[in-house]
Amino acid sequence: MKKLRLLGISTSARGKESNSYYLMKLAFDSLKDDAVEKEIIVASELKLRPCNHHYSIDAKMCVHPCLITQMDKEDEMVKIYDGILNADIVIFSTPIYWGNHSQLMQLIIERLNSLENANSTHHQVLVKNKIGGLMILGHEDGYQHVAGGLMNFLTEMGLIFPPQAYAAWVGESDENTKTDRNKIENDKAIKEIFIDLVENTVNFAKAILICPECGHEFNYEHKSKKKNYNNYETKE
Amino acid sequence: MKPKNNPENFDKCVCTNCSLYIDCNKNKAERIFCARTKSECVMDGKKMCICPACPVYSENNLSGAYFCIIEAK
Repeated sequence: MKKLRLLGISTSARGKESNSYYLMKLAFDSLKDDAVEKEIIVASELKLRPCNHHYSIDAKMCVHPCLITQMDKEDEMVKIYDGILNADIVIFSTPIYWGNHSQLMQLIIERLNSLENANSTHHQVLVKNKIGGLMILGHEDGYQHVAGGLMNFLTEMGLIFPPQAYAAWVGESDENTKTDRNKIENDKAIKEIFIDLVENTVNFAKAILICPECGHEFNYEHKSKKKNYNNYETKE
Repeated sequence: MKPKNNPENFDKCVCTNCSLYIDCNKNKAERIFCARTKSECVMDGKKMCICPACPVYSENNLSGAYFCIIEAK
């Protein structure tokens, strides 16, 4: 059976010190499956230039590989592009800051516009047949809002989400963030939420992408039309 | 496909109006990079490119930009 490639992208500015990375690593390590190759990219360890928003000047400027990637050899966004394009399952982890995902997550979303725009503007489906998942961690609240915002972009980019596609945990509504790690490390139920998310995405990928009983590999491609109305003849 | 490197396109080219265009380009008589090749000069890719505003770009259905830095395909 074909091996599934599971990629985690951890987007906390605190990198490997963060609670979101801790839970992602724990959940990935808990998955004991020879049919799955695992990798975690820690975004804070990469040199990632912010998006220059070429799309907003002219959508045709936003191409893949991204113009920044092509011009700036020090920019390491290519590791994330290649990681996603070579993966079968992509799980993003983000902390919550003031009700939103992390600044690194936002930077990555804006740079990933080149993959989404490949479809909506250039009619090239680059992201297809890939399963998505989310890990969201905060101290107070906001995880449903974060999940909604991220799913909005990532489904447009081309990821397929299983039922219950995110794991989330938030701490107490107070200013004491110092006890969060202790709670996470000592609460089996919290760990199980994140372990379950990884298992859910892997099981869904096996059912959808491999599906031995289907007799063929899943290969679904959809070319976006909803953003291309200006390219079509509208007059009768 | 690259645009034709001909006098008509040369006249339409807006490279000389671009913030990236520098004396080095002028001295080497470089322009219309999308039809020729990228520049031999050290260009500043952090400045904003105006390729998409050029008639040569739209008439030839180009995509991408910064053809003075990135070789047009």
